Order: sequence, then C-alpha cells, then structure tokens
Amino acid sequence: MSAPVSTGFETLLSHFTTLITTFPPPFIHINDPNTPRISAALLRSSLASISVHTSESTPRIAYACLNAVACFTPRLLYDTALNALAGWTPQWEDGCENWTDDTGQRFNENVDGFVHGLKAVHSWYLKHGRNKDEGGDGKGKGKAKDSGGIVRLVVLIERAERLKENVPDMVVPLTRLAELAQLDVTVIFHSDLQWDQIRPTLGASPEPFYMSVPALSKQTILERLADAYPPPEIGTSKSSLVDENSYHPALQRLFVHFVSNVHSVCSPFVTDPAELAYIIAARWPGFVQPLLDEWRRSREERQEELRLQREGGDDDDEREDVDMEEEKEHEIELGPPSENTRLRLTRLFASSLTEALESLYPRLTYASTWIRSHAPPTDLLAYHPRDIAAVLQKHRADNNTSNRGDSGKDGEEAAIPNLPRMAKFILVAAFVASTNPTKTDMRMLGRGLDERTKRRRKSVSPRKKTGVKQSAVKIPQRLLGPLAFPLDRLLAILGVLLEENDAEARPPMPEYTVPGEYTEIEIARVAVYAQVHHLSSMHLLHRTSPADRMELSPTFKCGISYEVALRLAKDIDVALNDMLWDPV
Amino acid sequence: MSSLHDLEDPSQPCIYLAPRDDLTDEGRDAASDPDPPSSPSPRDISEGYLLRLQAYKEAWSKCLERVQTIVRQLHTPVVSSVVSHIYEAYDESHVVPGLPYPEIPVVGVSLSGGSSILEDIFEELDNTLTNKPSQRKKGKGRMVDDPDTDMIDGTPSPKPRPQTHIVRISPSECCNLASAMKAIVGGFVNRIEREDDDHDDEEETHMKAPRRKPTASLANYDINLLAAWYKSIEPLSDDRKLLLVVMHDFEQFDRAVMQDVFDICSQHVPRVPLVFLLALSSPSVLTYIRGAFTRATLTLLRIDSVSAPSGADVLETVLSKTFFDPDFDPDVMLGSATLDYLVEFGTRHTASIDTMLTILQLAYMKHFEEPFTILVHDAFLGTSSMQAAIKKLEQPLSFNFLDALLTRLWTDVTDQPTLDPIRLDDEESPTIEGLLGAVSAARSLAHKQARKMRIGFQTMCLVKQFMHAQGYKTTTGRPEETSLELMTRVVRGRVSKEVKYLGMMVKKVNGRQLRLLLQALHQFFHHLKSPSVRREEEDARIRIVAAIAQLPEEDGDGTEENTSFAQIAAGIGDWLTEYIESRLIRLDQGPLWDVWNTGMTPFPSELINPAPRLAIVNALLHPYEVLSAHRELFGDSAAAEDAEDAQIPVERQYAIWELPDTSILFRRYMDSGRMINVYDWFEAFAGVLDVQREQLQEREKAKALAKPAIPKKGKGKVKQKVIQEEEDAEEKWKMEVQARFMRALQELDFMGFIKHTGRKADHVMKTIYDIPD
Repeated sequence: MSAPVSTGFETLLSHFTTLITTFPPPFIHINDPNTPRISAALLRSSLASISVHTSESTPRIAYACLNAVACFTPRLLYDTALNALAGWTPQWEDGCENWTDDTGQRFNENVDGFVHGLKAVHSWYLKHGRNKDEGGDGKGKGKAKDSGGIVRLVVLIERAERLKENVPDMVVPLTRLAELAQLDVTVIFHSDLQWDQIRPTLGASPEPFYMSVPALSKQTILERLADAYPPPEIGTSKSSLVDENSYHPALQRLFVHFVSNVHSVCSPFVTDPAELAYIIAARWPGFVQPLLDEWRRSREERQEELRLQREGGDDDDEREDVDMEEEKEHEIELGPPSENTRLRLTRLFASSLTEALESLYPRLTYASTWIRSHAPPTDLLAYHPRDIAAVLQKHRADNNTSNRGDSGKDGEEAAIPNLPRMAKFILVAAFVASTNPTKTDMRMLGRGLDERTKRRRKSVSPRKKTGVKQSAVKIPQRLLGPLAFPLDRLLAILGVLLEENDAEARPPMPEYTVPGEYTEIEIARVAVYAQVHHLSSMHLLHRTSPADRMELSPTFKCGISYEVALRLAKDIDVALNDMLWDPV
Repeated sequence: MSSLHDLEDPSQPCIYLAPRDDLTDEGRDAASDPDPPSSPSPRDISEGYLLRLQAYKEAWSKCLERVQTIVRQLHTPVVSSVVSHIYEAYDESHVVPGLPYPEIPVVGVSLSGGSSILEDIFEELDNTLTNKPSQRKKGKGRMVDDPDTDMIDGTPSPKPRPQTHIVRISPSECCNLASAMKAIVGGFVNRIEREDDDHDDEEETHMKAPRRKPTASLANYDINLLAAWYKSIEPLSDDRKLLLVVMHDFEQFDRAVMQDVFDICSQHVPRVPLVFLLALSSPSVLTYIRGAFTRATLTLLRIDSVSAPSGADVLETVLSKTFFDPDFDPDVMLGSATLDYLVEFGTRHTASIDTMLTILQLAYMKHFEEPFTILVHDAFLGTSSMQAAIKKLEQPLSFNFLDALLTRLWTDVTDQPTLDPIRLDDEESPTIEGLLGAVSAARSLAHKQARKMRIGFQTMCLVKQFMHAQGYKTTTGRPEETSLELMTRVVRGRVSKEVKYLGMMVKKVNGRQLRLLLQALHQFFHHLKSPSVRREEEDARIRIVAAIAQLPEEDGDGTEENTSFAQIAAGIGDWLTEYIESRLIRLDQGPLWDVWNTGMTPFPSELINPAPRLAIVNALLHPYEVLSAHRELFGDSAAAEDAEDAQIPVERQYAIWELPDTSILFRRYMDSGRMINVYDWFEAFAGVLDVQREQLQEREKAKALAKPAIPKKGKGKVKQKVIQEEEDAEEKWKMEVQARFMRALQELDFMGFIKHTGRKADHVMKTIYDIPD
C-alpha cells in the first residue's frame, strides 16, 4: 500500500508528530467523527515514519497500532500490542510464538503480565539499542544511544469505542498505562465517538489530551479526490472492467472537472471522501469511454488514410520504412477534450451521477456490477446531439432488461413472487396481523350472517371519528412498524383468508362436509407450520419469542413492507385494503 | 431416543413421537423386516413381497437417477457462475481501479429450493483445482477482449486456476466472535495438519505445522495466526491461492458476530485472500444482507449474488423431462392423482426438489403394493427364465395370483376388442405360457403408448410455445396455462379442445412463421435420441420435410405464393391436430394398464403433509374408529386381545362412559372454559366412571343371570362381612378412580393439551379451543 494522501490533515499530523516526538501526554484521545478511516490510516503511516526518521535529539519510538474490533479479547490485545511494539512478526515455522525477552516469560495472562511485557520491551530496546547492531534498523539504535537511552512506546487504538464492549476491563488500565508501567508510554485512542461516550464511570480514568479532526472543507475534499489520479493499481494491473486508457495523463484535467461535478451532485447527501471516491471509481470509466471511442476511431481512420495514401504511391521497400516512421508520427495522441466536448459529456452523464449515488451509496449494487450495467453505448459522441438523449434512453432500457436477473433492485424484488402460494397467504396474513390491533380482528375478519356491509362500515368509521373528535391524530400502525402476534392468531387469520379466497382454487375434497372443516384441517397441516418456520428463517417473518421456549405459542412480526404485501395480495386475489383497520 | 432429542431442538417444525412399543409391534416388524406382512394379500404369489421390493428398487433408482441428472443439468450454469465468481475474486482484471479501499469478495448463493447445489460447487472447485483447465469463456460486455482474461481453446498455457482452500462453517460454531474466528482461523490452519496425516509426499512434509504452545503462541482465534500461516504457504508454489470460507445457513448466523468477522477480515484483505461463500435460503441474497447489516459493514464487502433455480420452473422441467420426454422411458408412469398432488403441493407449499423426490418415491412405493406390479419389468416373477416362472405359477400357492391375473386380463381384453396384439391363445383354456406372453405383449403395448403420448405432448408443447412466442393466443377463453397444468390435463386426456384450437391457429400463420415452425418441428423429430422412436415417427418427419419442400422461396411475395402458403398451413394445421390427438391417448386404458401407471390411486398425502394436532384430537374424540383402523392396517393380532370390543359395530355413537379414560377426560376438557379447575374436572370424571361402573355391573349381572345362579350360603355374620367388604371395595374404587384420573391427566399433559400456570391455584389452562367435532 502506498502512503495515504495527507491533504487536509496537515495540521493534525504536524501536531501529532510534534507531540509524539517531544513530550507526549500519557493518554490522548483523537476524535474524528467524519473520516475516521482516513485519519487512522494517516496516523498509522505517520507513526511509521516517525519511528524511522527520528532525529538526533528525539527519543526512539516504538509503536503499536491496534484495532479494538480485532482485539476482542484481552489476550489478543496483549499479543498484538507487544508483538508490534517489539517489531516482532510471529513466524509460522516457529509455531507462531509471541515475542518474549530472554527470560522466555509469558506476558499475555493478565494486565500485570502485560505491564511486565511493556517493561520487558522497553528494557530490551535499551539493551539492544546500546549493545547489538541487529534488530530493525541501525539508525534507531544510534538514536537510542544519543538520546540518553530514552525509548518511547506508543500504542494507537483505533475504533476505541469498541473496547467498552469487547474488553470492558481493559479500558481503565489502558488509559493509565504510563502510571502502571512507570514508563514513557503514550496511549492514543482514536474513535469517531467523543471521549464522553467512552469514558468509564466513576472517574476511573484520567482525562485525556483531546485532539479532534475537523470536517474537511469542500476544497480539500476536491483536492484529495483529484490527487488520487491515476489510482495506484492502474499501472500494474489490467482490469477488464475499465479501458486501459481511462486514466491517461491527458485526461487529468477532465478528471478534476469530473470530480467537482460529482461532488456538487453528491455533497448534499454524502461528503465522505471514501464514498465519493467509490462513486467516482465506478462512473469515471464510463464517463471517458465516449472520448476513448472517438479517439480510437479517429486513429483508425487516420491509419486507413495513411494506408490508402501508401497504396496510391509506389511500394518500394525503402518507402515502406519511411511510411512506418511516418505512421508513427501521424499516430494521434490522446489529448484533453475540447471545452465543448467536456460540456457535452457532463450534460449527458448528469443524470447517471444521481443514479450512481442512489444505488452505490447504500450499496444496492457494487462498483464492478454497476460499471458493467452502466457502460455507455459505443461511440456515443458520434451520434448527432439531437439523437443522443434517445440513444441513451434506449441503451438504458436495454441494459435494464438484460440485467434484470443479474443483480440490482429489480432482480431482487422479482424473487418474492416466486414464493409458493401458501407462503404468500401466510405473509399476507402476517401483514394483517402485524398491522391491525388484536381486538379488531373479530370486526374486520369475523364472518357473520351479512357481514359484508357491516364490516365495511365499521372499518371506515373509526378513522373519521378520530379525525374529527380527537385532537391528537393517531398514527397508523403501518408507520409505527409491525406488531408482534402469536402463531395462533396468524393461523386464525390465515384460515379466514383461505376460506374466503382460496376455496375455489384448491382441489376438491368431498370427504369434508362441514363448512370450514377443510380450511380448519389445511391450516393445521405440517406444511403450513414448516412454511412459517421457513419464512422466519428467511427473515420474511421475524420471530420475536426466543427460539428455545417451547411451552408458549411463538410470536412473530411481519418482515415485509406494505408494497410487497400489496403485491402478494394481488397475486392471490386478496383485497388487502379491506382487511386493514387503517386502510391506506 | 432420537425423538426425545428432537424435542429439545427448537428448529424442528414437527416432531414424530413413535407410538408406544406395545401398540405397534406388528407395524414395526412389517416396516423393518423384509418379511412379508402377517396378512398378505390373497392375490399375491409366494415371495411376492420381496420380489416387488426388488422391482421397486430397480424402477425407483432409474427414476431417481434421471431426476438427479436433470437437476444437475439445471444447476450447471449456477455452479459455474459461482465458481468463476470465486476464482475471479482477487483477479486484478475484475477489480475496479481507484476504489478507496479493498473490499472482501463475497458470493451469496440463494438456495431457496434447499438443494444440493453446494456439493456440486465443491465438486467443481475440486475438479478445476486438480487438473481440468477450464475452457469456459467468461465475461460479457465491452471490454473483455483482453487476452489475459479470456482463454481461448487450445491456448498453450491457460491461466492456472487459483488453488482454493475451503473451510465450511455452520451457525452453531459461531455463537460468539471468538468461536467464529476460531472456526475460520482454525479451519484453515489445522486443515494442513490433517492433510499431512493423509499423505506424506515430499512437498507437503515441510509444511507440517510446527507445534504451537497454547500460551506462548498466538491465540487460535487470532487472525494474525491465519496471516502468518498464509505467509508461510504463499511462496510454496506460483499458483494464486484463495481462502474460501463457506457459511451454511447464513441467516442463522448472529448478525453482530458476522459484522465483526467481516470487519476483522477486511483489515487483512487482500494480503490474506479470503473469499466468503454464503449459502442463504432467502430468495434474494442482497435483500437479506442489506436488511441484516449496517451500511458500514456493507461498504466492506463486494457481493456477487447468484440464485439457484427454484420454484415451479424446476418442478416443471424435472417432470416434463422425466415423465414426458420421448428420450426417457420411466418404468412406472405417473397417473393423474399423483401428478395432481405433486403439482398441487409444488405450487402451493414448497417446490423444493427434495420434497418432490420424496413424493415421487412414496408414489412408487405405494404403487408396488399391488401384487401385479411384480410384472413391471418382466414376466419372470423373480426367476431367471420363462420356464421357471411357469413352474412357479404351477405351484398351488400361486393359484390365487394366477386366477386373479387371468380374470383381469380376460376382462380387459374382452372389454376392448380392438386391441389386437394381445390375444389369449386359447380362449377356453389358456395356458400359463400364453398368459405370460400376453402380459409381455401388454407391457410393450403400454410402453409404446406411453412413448407416443410423450411425443405428442412434446410436439404440442413445442407448437404451443412457438405460437405463444409469435404472439398468438393458444387457448380459448381461459388464461394461458403453465405446462404443469397442461401435464395434469394431458394425463386425464382432456386436451382435445386445446389441440383443435392450436391446429386452427397454426392455419393462420404467415409464410415466415410457418417455415420457422416447420424447421423447429423437424429439429425436434430429428433429434430424438432413440433410433427406434425415430423410426416410429418416420412418417411425421417425412410429412414435415415434404411440407418444407413445398414451401415456395422466401423472396417471392406475390399473391400466388400467399395462397399456396395458406394451403400448406392449412394442411399442416389439420395434420398437427390429427397427429397430436392420435398421440395424446390416455394411458389408463389397455390391458393391465395399472401395472405401469399409478393411475387414479389416491396419493397417501397424510404421510407427506399430516395434521398432527387435529389427528390427535380426532383420535381422542373417536377412539374406536382409530383403533379399528389400526387393526385393519396392522393385522389381526391386536384384535384377538380385545375380541369383545371388536364385536361392537364401529359406526354407532358411543355413550361417554363407554370410552377409554383419556377420552372421557378429554370430552370433559372440551366442555370447559379457558381454565379448568382440576378438582371439578376430577369430579366430572369420577361421575362418568361411576356410571361406567354401574353399567358394567349391570352387564355382569345380566350375564350372571343368563348363567345358572350359584346358591348363596350367606348368613348374618357373612352379611356384615359383605358390608365390610363393600366398604373396602368402595375405598378401593375411590383409589382406582383417582389413579385412573391421574393417568389420563398425565397422558393429556404429555400430548400437550394442558398448560400449567401458577396464576390460579388448582387450575390448569387449556391449549386448544373450538375444535370441530
């Protein structure tokens, strides 16, 4: 990995470097609510450079970068920290042994051991720094000698907010590490939360030295993004997804414009440079494709021309050689596009930027898929400006139809109607059960002698009344989220649905004579229970009761949205809105 | 006790509790022993049961093999797409340049059919791993002409497939983060050790895992251990390597745990090339993952989702290729009842392949209960030659079978005098040989007819699909039907209207369409696999070829040609109608048809889809019906025990006192409200028992009266003794009533009808209400 771009973080880094190399407080908290990933990477790389380039007067610095998510047990934390501080990489061939000093002691048992480990690392550095010439780098050793044998240990913990749940007992010792070890140790917490939200109770930890990372300004974001051109991979790899010339140096100016364009579209919603870079990486290849197509075409035309010229002339051998050279001369270089072309491109792709934001930011699709599905039609610029809009639209429609099964929203939602018929009934029943209050079931679904008219009237009236009489408007259940319901209620509603909407569709069973008996038996069958179970394993129903409680009827919540429920209901000819207490 | 173990498992939707041993001795024996059941059908020959079992096995394995082949074919594209996704996971040519940070490649497979596709995937991974350089062309879109990524057949050095290490993880291994990481890390790291035990070739020995000290080394759930391990194996060969983590039942994994796992792994990609393969049962992978994880986690992943084929389409393909394909001849054809059930269950409940196979197998098993089904494959009756078979039939034990067979054939043949090939030689006194010959003739006739039907069906489907694609309506009045529905109606023989309509529509096609249609038909007949079938359908082929030859040249578009087109189209339409109608004959006709066809025999659906709770309630309400049904099923030895009960006619309504204790208690249970006071319940129960006692005593008395009375020699002292005895008896009776109550109560409790709540003293709660009687 190359060093991350530091644009926008210069102040933080210079402060940080100065602190660490001079007189660091024992405990620092760095809060970066906006771009934690980037600032953490920068801190890591700056620590790495500090530890190498120590000047004569500064102490030798050994550092460890931990991630609180990865160090989810104290032991992992000890191991990772000590190995990193000692610059030790466990080797598979040696059985992945941890670092240890000459005594062969074990340091990963508890906090005490860890503190001893820190001391051991410290003294090891002192000893080896003075005497031996092996180890990480000769320079470091010299420094230790010069700086009066001062070795400073720095522990950087990223995502420090996770310490609290993963290793709760470690928070306090870590914050007081210098006190405990009586060493020159600095612990840095890096988190997107503020210290207040991590702080252990009862004032057990000392107050940290606060540093905070300000949000990046628009200008810095743009600079950062533009600086990333061309991406480091482009030189080494050949991606089949993008044209090899997509990141041609001649296009750099266009890229800067493109970046600011993307930023202006996306900044109301996203300002994270990483997300913007993601969107740019997905859109740029398609954006420049028309230019490259045009360039290639003109080059071919040119070659054709040359060939014709040559054929027109006499074909001496000498001449041919000259021709070859000439051909090289006449090779058209890929140049930056004209202002006019740039505007045209920008206009053409303006709508697709919004599209990219909408589907890439929530990761409805992924960059590689998106590149494929949104590749512009070949030779887009060759069309007449009047036709282009139509061409684009047609191309998009084609892509949509061909990619439907592939991925994206359409393909996913198309999967739901593939459910078997009974599953659809169960889901609709679950939706009804989750939306209607329990006590309205009898009124909504009960079947009396002439229930048709009665039901409809009752289902409408309460809404009107609430509107008129009560001042506080009751929020419909649909908007409050699904209610939990017991399995029995689901089956009862399912029975009503089946009796009313499925009676004609099912195979005749002459042996059931009592009205309703057939349905009663149908909903008691194993396949129905299995289906409920299956749906809940697919998370289309959410089981709310713990799975290990057998003695009660299990409770569920509906896991589908109103739109999906409506579509399913349409599939099975159920008038869903008639069944809802609060019809839409 | 596996069933008791199952009770602990909350994921079981239904648990089978085996009946008490003393009840089912007969039934169990019959099921587990291959011995014939105690009461063989009178029409069976000796050893018929075993022989039919043999025949069943043969027929079923043939069918099973066919289905599995088809399913595998269906899976092939999915498998290859998954495998190529896995292989391309870290391929530079498939990574978008300029991404802010590397993503973890994740392949999600949706297995809503619950199918065996994962195994196929592993097999494919193994195959490509060992030798087979894949020659699949991959990729579509504009920029894949890159010579590095595309392999052209015959390229001397195809890009080597990456070496894949696979670890499979199930949800139970991942209850917390440490165990999940341990499963992943340990899975890879320890695998090498295990492999080393197997083969000690030179190359592998030096990667034998060094002994790790549990305390002084990295923890076994530390991702750094995996990194160190990978670093050590990386330079071993030039191949690229992939570490594939397979997660079965991904929905059951704890989301918070998985979130952290992804987070940790993302810090080590692409140095450690981890690939995740998630097997989900949801119909759509992305919907689930998007719902389950936060955006922060989603941004770490790059998900490729693949769906296994599922639903009614799979069912349709399998059925039409197994039972309606001219190239395959199943030994037993599905009849309308089984097919209906299969289609119904597939579209209504679940279309999974496993369920379908179970249903088919059950139908086959049931079919081979019939004694005549011994004749499915040959007429040798389990012997090696006709002579031996004849000898076997000459034994007196086989007379019943012989008799029944003869009668059956006789009626079949006389009912349908048109069937020429089957004639009993001598109508007056047929020989056994002649009989067996007639059976063989009937078999070949049945197969021939089935084949014809299949060809007819396929022709019809082909024409129908073609017309549909050309935008013609193919059914009158009704909405378009799926081919599943078509199958069920073809088996019933109710398609003549459709066929006529189809012929009519064919007459209306224009010249270009007609040409296409004829070419499609010609293709179909030309590609029939079995040569004998092709020969049989030679006429049809000639007819089509002739029609194609008659077609005028395409470019001529004068009116003259139009009329000739119309003529040809009309001819073809008529011919198709006639042809298909003559082929789509019902298979439940002809001599001995039910040997090769499951016909109208109802499918034992209760075995696949029972209603256990209602069945129990029903049994408690009507115990004697269930008992007598049980007796019928499992022979007569149970009947011997309570012979006197057997004399009671089953149909009559029983008074409550005549029922068994549990039933009496249950009746009272049904009468009560939501909660039951146990004491009241006991009182009610005791009341019934008192009536029962009186009634029984009266019956005894009546019996005693019938017998000559024994003279009593009692006097005063004795009388007192009698009173004493009566008091004792009363005490005893009370004890007995209590004991019987307790027992009945326990039984109901065991069956789950009672819920003990501490809410109200001496009360229990009902668990079911309102059961239709």
